[in-house]
Amino acid sequence: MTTKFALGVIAGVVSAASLAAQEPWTGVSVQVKMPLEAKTLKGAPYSAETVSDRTQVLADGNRIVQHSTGRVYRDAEGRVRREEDRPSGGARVSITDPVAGVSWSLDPETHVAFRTSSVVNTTILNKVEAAKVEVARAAAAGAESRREGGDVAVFGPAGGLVELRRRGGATEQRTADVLTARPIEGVMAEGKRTTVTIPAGAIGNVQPLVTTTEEWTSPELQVLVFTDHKDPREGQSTYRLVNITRGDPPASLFQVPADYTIRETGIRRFERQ
Amino acid sequence: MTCASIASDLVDLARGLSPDAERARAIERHVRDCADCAARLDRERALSADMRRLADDTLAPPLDPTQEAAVLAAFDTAQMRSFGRSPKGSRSFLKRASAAVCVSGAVAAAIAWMLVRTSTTVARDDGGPLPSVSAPPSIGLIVEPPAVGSNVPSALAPHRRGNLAAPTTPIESTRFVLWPGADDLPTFESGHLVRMQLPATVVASMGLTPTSHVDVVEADVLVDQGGFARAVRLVP
Repeated sequence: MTTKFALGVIAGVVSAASLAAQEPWTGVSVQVKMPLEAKTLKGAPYSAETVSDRTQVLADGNRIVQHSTGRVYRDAEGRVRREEDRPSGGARVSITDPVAGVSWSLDPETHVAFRTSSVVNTTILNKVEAAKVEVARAAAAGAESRREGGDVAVFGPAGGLVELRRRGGATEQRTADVLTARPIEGVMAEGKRTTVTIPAGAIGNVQPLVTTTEEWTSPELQVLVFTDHKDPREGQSTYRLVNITRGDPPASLFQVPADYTIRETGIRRFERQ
Repeated sequence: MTCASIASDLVDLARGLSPDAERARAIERHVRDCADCAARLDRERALSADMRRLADDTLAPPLDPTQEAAVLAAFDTAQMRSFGRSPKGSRSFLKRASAAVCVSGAVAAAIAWMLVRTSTTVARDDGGPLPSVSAPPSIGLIVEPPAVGSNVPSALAPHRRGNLAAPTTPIESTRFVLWPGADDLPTFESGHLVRMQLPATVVASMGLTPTSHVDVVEADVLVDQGGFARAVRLVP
């Protein structure tokens, strides 16, 4: 489910960059994948199907529509199995096992199970969180500069100056709304909506640009059951769980099949622990 | 503010040094209106980037004490084999020179063996070669140290660009940067870290600078449950 979408999104960015650089580029080559879970939750087992849809309407009226499906299983110990249906048939499977401290990415074609230590999961998410903090800090610096009515120096990850950018004047406005809880697919869900408005003229836009992100979370299962992201520049994307059932899935779902060859992803070696 | 008065500031800015906010604003205003200074700032930035790449390409990491000990132990062992006694007792220049020649030959053979491995094995970890991995040009190959029992001293295993590095020391990866627009997406709940090859121009547009001039780089992209890219980093 995610790979196809990801490649679509990334390919879009890649194409834009290639066009900007006037360089030909034919695609994105995927080499290794490892599953990541933002958190481990015990005592709330469930199974569900996942459905993702993405629709982008182009300026000439053309539409790009993507649809993908999969399944997710979580047992009482917090193990998670995710399956992504592939257009060619079959499903790509990933298993995150916090009890054993490993995650697996199963390749059904070659019958190879790629293993990664759970430590890598934590390390990577911490690094991404650090990147968010850096962005937030830069945004705060920009806000401070705007209060002073001036410009701001933008620094890159290595600390060097990237550019001197005018940040004064119109900037995006962000609002968050709590939505009334409602049942979705048999579970109660709490919702929130974030609206980001880029005022007219801020980036050359004639009219305000409004992006909305709605997400509904089951407090019982602690999972997203529905998300809806609308951006006039990119289109609409939804992710939802359907046919949610509570209860422990079969233990065999969280085990690597006996006929699989086990290999390391090698991603661990890149993490400073 | 004149061109001459900000000449040194432009160099500092390009090197990553930040003036105070007021002066930065004044410089920015001047640069915006002065094509010469704008061009100079661009040149200095390019020069800084090249210098950083050059430094990364040429600087060897400090020799790890473990490596040093391993090399010395290999030397001692070779000496003992040559003379059948402790090398500390040897005072003969001829014998020591002979031992040095023997060790040099062994080291050269080891390096040659590793170079052959480098050309055929990429990013091995505990369980074998990665699937369909092909290292992009000039990014550098990463090779596991020889297996236990190998005749090649582990201290000689090449890592990045053939430089000596401690085999047990994790290679520091670059930092993640957020993918454009990731801030506005739904909460990250699950996803994948996807190792892929991307055009260098893509990662450069996000503030990641490859350490050498290449068209394609290897990168880790964090993709969420909805299929959106959240963050990216270069793979060292």
